[in-house]
Amino acid sequence: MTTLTTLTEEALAGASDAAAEPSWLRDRRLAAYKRMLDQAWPDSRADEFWRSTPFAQRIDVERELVTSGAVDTPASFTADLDVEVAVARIVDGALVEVTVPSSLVELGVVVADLSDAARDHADLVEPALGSLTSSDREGTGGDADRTVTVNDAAWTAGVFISVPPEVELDVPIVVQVHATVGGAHLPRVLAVLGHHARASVYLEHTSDADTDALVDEVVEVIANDAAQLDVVSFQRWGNHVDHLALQKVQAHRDSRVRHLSVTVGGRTVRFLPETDLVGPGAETRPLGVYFADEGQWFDLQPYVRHLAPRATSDVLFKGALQGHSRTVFRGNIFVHKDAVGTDTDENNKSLILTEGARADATPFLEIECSDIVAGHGSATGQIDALQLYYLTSRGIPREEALRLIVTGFFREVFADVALPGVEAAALTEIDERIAAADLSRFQVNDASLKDHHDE
Amino acid sequence: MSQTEIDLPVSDARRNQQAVAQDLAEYKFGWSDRDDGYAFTSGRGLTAEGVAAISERKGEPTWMRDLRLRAFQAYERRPMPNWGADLSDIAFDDIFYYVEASEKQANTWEELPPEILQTYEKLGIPQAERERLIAGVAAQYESTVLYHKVREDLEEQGVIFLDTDAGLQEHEDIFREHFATVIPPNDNKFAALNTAVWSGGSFIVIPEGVKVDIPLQAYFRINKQNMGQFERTLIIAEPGSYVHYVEGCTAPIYSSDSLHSAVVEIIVKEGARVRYTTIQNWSNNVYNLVTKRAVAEKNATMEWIDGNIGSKVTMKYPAVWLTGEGAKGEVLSVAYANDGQHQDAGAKMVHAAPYTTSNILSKSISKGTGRTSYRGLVQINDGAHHARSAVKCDALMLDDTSRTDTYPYMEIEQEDATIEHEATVSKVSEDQLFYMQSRGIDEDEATAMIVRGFIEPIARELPMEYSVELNRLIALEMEGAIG
Repeated sequence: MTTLTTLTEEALAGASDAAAEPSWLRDRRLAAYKRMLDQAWPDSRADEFWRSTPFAQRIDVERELVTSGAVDTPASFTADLDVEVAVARIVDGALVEVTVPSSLVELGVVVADLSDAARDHADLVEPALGSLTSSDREGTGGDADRTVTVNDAAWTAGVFISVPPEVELDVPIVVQVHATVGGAHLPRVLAVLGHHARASVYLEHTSDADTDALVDEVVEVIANDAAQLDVVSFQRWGNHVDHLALQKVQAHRDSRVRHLSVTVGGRTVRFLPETDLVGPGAETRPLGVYFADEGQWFDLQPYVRHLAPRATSDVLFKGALQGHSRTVFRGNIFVHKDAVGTDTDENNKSLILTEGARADATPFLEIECSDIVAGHGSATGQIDALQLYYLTSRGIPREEALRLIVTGFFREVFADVALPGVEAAALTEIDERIAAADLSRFQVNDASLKDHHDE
Repeated sequence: MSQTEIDLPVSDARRNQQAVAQDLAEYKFGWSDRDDGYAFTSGRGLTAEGVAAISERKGEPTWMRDLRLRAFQAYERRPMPNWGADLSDIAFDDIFYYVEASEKQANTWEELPPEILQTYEKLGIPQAERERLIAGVAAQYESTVLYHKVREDLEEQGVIFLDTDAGLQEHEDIFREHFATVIPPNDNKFAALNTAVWSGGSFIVIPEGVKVDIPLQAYFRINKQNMGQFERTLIIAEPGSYVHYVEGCTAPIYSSDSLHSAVVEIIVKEGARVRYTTIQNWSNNVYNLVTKRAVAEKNATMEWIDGNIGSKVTMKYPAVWLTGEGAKGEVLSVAYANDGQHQDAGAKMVHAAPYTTSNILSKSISKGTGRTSYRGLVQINDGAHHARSAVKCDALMLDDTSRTDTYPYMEIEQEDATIEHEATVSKVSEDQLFYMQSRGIDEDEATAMIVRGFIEPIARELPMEYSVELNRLIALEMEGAIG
């Protein structure tokens, strides 16, 4: 059996050949394998970026690499929408199905197996694949750690998405990642939007309820000049899945990127939505909502690098916690000295609903350039007694009022996200969490009542 | 270990080098004392034998020697921090860990050696003393406190204000009960180092209910090339007492890097209040790696006012462990980083009891190749219900080559905590400069005014003479800010 620690050069080369990958890709995998051999698994005591998730305790890398799956996946939430979407399904470490509506094919949109695309669309894939995971990181943080390098070397199920220049899509392209068997899953996604293209990519992560798996995922997206990109990532895993995700976007001149994550499932989710703003005037909005319950550990690390002038970024993550759960918001904004005219804001808000939960927030700023506007904020609190009092005084039952307050807390994130199905799907997830919760255990902070009374 | 550095033969070449360095230092910075004439040093570098020798030299009780040796083991075992500032250039083996300037303590200014007196005159201490601006001075020259005076009325009130070595000798019971309880020997690498080789510092006990109405002050100086200074301060404020302790540092410039690694422990008992003010102005070759922590018991208040102007690298995060219900912690911090400096400063607040509150205000200014980093922790432990914390970090960048970072950590285990964090980054804007220049204020002065306004919320909390000194130091650093 091959695990993430017993990979061999021969096995990697063999798998690459079996997938009929071109030699440049095989060489790249082997080069990554060599880099990997020089790296150790993260040490949460030593590596600042792993401090927030105890790697040794929560991540088991001695798992068999999962490489084959069946078609059977739950329906995408987009199935309820009255639109025809492109769907790629990764099940148990294998790309089992790709469906592209003919209307998209006619526009030149490609959704394909990444191994095939490396051959058929080498002009697009070769310069892009791995370009974001192996690029130098300025600011805090070193090069890609072993959890990323192992995916560079050994990814087993890849999806390539290409939206040609000036093509605008109103329907999303969906990538489903589903786990039914235990072991290590290594999915990979590469998306390239041509200049002035507009598209949204939905990533849906699901598993069977009792599947005990490690999913180590790398997503690279390149938004070329003036492209408009939405990445939406749903983490709806069962309670025994550990998910390590690097979802990195490179934003070129005047492109507009929005990256929304909805994290409700999984045992451990360490999620890195990153944007490199490499072109002047680029914009990114990393958004996140999360709801952690008993035993869950969510480590959310939005990282924005301002590497070009006049780019803007606006990070907003909002989370609720109950039971013995732990969330970490570890944001970082790096502003390079050339990034004059940067406008950046970074915010995290947590709502601790019951006793026993812990919410950490570390909204970092690293600034080399003075000609900018930067701010950040974070707030941790609980349900406000004044709000609750107001609603109940209007005859709304307490339980319904609590539900309204929590839902309202999250709605800010969706304020101008007009993506088909997304807000409804996200709020449904959150409603389910609230419905399953024991509302009588919700803690209410009466400080505002006192303040009000003092006035 | 009784050899003295001055007995070693010195080659002519080295003597010349030293003379040149001496001349340069004097020429450039006006004054600097001769660096021979030390009564005792433990030599360069550090070994367990060296640690034991320091303890023996001081005639300490066995428990303190054992504690030092335990700390030394912890120091050797603990890794260098892999976060914060770059410490890779510290040459630990070149440092003098213990140096004694003279064998006895002086009781009046006139008894001090002329060179030392001259230095203190330049620092303005006797004048301050004459004007009764200060309540008592423990003037620290190198590692031994030479001059020490406590005003008589304080003594009458039962206030103990000694150098730490004397504190150990004269009040061993109180000392042993509290020493290293707030910052254990293995707390971090540099606290361990300090515990192993500490010397000097202040030992203060304020009896129950006593309110010291004038600030207690001490001046510290580094004067020997490559000499670490490891002073250790222990303040115990008994219930209902109040004291404001002011620590200031200046150091002449030398050619190679020096290490300063102090430990300050403060115990603020029920209903007491302690304010600790530091304006750090080490020369720009000093690594200033300091551990400062206070424990605030029920309804106690601890305030750190922390200014970092000098040093090559500072890593300092004054902390308050809020262990009693209703305890309050505050840190006001101002940092200025000029060319080649990295000020990695901040604060830590650990809420371990209900109804505790903390407030952190950090103001940092960076210029040239300087870098300021705010690094702070707010931790709300499970059970610390109704805790409140507010953190505000403002950074001002004076040009496009400097850098500023904000690394706030918030770790919240309690559902009803109220935590707020805000940060802003700004520069001196052309609009502001234009407005002031149109009123006839030149650009340098206008910039200085903006900077003074920026730090005013902290400057106004300082004793008047310190506020003046802070403004003067920043004005000096600002010279030619607009190029």
